[in-house]
Amino acid sequence: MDNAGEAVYYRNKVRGRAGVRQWIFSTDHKRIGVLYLVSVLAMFSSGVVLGVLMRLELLTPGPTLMGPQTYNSMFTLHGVIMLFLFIIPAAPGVFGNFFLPILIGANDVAFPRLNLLSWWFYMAGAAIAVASILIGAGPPDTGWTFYAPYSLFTGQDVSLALFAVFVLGLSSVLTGINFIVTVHNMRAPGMGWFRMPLFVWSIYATAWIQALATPVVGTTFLLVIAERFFGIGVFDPAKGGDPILYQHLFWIYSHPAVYIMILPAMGIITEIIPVFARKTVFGYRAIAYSSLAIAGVGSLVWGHHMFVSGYSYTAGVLFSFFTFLVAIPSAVKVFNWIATLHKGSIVFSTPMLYAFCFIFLFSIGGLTGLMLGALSMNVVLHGTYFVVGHFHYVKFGGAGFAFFAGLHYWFPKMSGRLYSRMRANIALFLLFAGFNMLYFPMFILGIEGMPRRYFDALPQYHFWQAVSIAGSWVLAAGIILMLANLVHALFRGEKAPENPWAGATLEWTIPSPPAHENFVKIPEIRRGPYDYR
Amino acid sequence: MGKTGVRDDARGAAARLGMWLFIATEAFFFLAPLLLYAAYRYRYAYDFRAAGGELNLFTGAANTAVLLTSSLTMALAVNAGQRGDKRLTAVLLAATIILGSVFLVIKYFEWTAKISHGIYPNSETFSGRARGEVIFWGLYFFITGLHGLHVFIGVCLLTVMLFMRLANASGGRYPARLENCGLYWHAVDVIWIYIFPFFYLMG
Amino acid sequence: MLLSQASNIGKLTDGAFMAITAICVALFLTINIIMLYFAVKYRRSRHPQSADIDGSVLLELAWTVIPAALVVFMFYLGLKGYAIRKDAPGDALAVNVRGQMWSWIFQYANGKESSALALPLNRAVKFNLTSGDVIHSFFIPAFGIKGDVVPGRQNTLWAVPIEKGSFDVFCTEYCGAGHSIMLSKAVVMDEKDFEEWYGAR
Ligand code: HEM
Ligand SMILES: [Cu+2]
Repeated sequence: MDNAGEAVYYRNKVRGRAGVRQWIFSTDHKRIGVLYLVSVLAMFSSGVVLGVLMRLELLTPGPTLMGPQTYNSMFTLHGVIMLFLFIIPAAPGVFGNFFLPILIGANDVAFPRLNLLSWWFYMAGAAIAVASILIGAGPPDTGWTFYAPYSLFTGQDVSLALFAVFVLGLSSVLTGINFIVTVHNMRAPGMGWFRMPLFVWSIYATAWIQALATPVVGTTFLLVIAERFFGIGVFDPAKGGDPILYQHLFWIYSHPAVYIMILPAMGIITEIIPVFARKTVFGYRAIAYSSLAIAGVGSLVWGHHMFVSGYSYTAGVLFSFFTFLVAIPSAVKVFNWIATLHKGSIVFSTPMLYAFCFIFLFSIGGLTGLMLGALSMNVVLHGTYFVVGHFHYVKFGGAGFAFFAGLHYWFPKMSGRLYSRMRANIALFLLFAGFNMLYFPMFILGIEGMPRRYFDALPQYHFWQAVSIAGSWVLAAGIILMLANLVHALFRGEKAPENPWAGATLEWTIPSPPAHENFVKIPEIRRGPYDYR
Repeated sequence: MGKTGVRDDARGAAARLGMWLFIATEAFFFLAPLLLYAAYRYRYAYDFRAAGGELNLFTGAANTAVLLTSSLTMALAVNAGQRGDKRLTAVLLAATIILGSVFLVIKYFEWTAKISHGIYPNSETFSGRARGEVIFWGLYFFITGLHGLHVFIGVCLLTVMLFMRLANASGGRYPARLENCGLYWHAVDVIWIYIFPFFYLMG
Repeated sequence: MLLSQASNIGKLTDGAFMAITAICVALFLTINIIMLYFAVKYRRSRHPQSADIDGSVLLELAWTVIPAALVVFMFYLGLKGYAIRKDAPGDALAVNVRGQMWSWIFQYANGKESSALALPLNRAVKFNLTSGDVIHSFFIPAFGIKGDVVPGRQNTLWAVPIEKGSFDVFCTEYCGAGHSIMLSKAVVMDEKDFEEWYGAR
């Protein structure tokens, strides 16, 4: 191909700029994608350490490693890190940046410098979050939800953490705007809307949520900060404010945020399955529209986090109803993936195995979500370990596994190297087994009534807690092996060919790793994204 | 115009779309406190009316007039910029900056007047007031403060544009940038048009 | 199965719980068994040439409409046990539940206060939930009831205990360092024993 010429690989050293500077000041979307990759993996790892320590705390009755105050700060930081610093920026930041322009046949995103600025905002947010642990009155202890009025009164340092999330939100908004414009304005000639790979559709739907929902939580957190410093009274019951309104404003963003995490994840899975089934995706339009439907209906369901808060009966009924509705487009996607397998020619490469695990775990996460959405059941299960199990299945088993699926799918393209499939598969096995061992017992614990955010467990819960704790070690071992395998491949791996998986989308038509300008000549698109014949 | 001209056009279109999206996010940014305003106004209708009556309608109206006029000068500046009339662009930009600053000065006097009367959150004389009034003033300071911050950012942006103009920028991407600054300025203006009746007229 | 068999409301929830769980398990099995079946049947060694299929409007319709019907049914199941929670019977025994960092105080109509919740068997109780500081949540798993305890507003719950015994009371809304020790017991006793306890100030 004419794209394979004497290209300068994007990873090659740039003349005249030393060391990391040629990365952290680069406006190349691929380099920015790699910057995000390194940063989100660092964040993920520190979140895992916190998670495993938290689990360990419940091993024996009473304080095992730490007191309640430390535990409370730990789950707060774990939640903030895993959500705002890992899973929300992960898929758009890494794969959106690296592959969105390539997949639509563009040289870069619409605003490359703004893109770099977004990453800097991300790093600034991360730095402020770290600062909130080290300086001031001690790490925040409110939970990642920052519920008023507790967050107004606690003596710990909450404002700095809130401001960190605000800055991260800014980063997210700018990325969203950038991607929307990129999709609208930068598509290669012939790349009609329905010739875009479905990953692009999912990033596009996500970008709208990022741009429009994030500002709401931004101001809500500013209101809490203003409340802490000046006492403006809007969430303070002592002054006539209503803490329930805080919850509304918080979830108006934070529920759609769940779709920021899961939509790109679904997009990744939609890329992987056709490649390894060697078959065009089943129901392209249904999958594309269901992304938009999820983004739309998903913004009407925030109240399902508040069924027992005491708002009106009607509100409860409506929010429950919409919650059930949003399950339909998600189900449509799952059915289309499975139908894609039908009469395919399936190879069990590592990314495909990840995709299978994703469907397994995500279906558990989604269906337990339905159980939580049913009003009378929610009353019992709300605020228990059942919820902790549910959201880990969705965010980690769903979004997290899909992110790692994407990492194993695109790793050869991003790095130009092949990883050991055998070690990758062993790691996946550990991940999958450890995951279920860690989180499935949480459903049982929740049904038996154990509340979340408890630093200690009553005796009747010890058995399943112990199983879950042991699971966290298996999972951690899997994570270490997976990352080690990839790092090893980065330095020692075999050179990757242009198209190791025989994929049909545009990124597989250019060298691995891609050249700085992606395409020597902007391609002209004459066929659909998954044409294997 | 040649090749670069075409590219500048495409870039201009992208920048314009980006700016519109940014303005949409700004609208959502103000949504949260305005929703709070609506909820509390419904709950404490009487207190809100009483508190709103304490605001000086004259200063509010004056500020509205100032900001509307500045929108006009801004629109004319963008127009002049597109026609390449360098002098007029500079003059109109300067006028807009001055009007924006006047807005901020008036706002400053309004705030300090309230604060000197003990009308601010957590003041000693404040605790005796009705709950709805406390919340009204809390929201007043938050929303007008946030808006004032946007005006301030706008003034800074326009100052940069003015300096670029004085450093003789006029062709290339300058008109598109100016247009985007104009869009932002109008958005800040429109947000004020929403805030004004909530606090000053519904008293 | 939910262990919430000790009150009328818990029993009602349990029915919905069983039905909804059954539907979800069935859906889970359907999805995953079909997936595995296809994966095995169409593996490359057995099925080297894939077919050229790119969709089917009929199927799309089917798997939109059928899940839609199922979820509306589940919604309805969940509704039944929720609606009844709204209004307590007029003759219910009123108990004020006061949440504070980090303990529960139960106040009865005659002014009696207690840190454990004594309740008569088979008589409706209405809980008025109030908080003096932050949000808590009042949860008796065995009764299947839970309600947030929000400062500045009064939420209510009710239930008829139908089983004697001592049941856990938890706080399920995070409220600070003592959140996990904000525990109490609901002790359900015969009417006679209760009157004795209640009368003895
Ligand atoms: C080895 C990996 C992990 C372990 C061992 C772990 C463990 C836990 C545990 C035990 C809790 C509940 C604490 C409590 O309620 O007492 C928790 C909370 C949470 N986890 Fe994880 N987790 C892991 C990975 C993740 C990932 C990947 C995500 C997101 C993508 C995540 C997001 C959260 C969130 C949002 C919370 C709620 C925090 C809060 O209550 O404020 N976790 N985690
Ligand atoms: Cu509590």
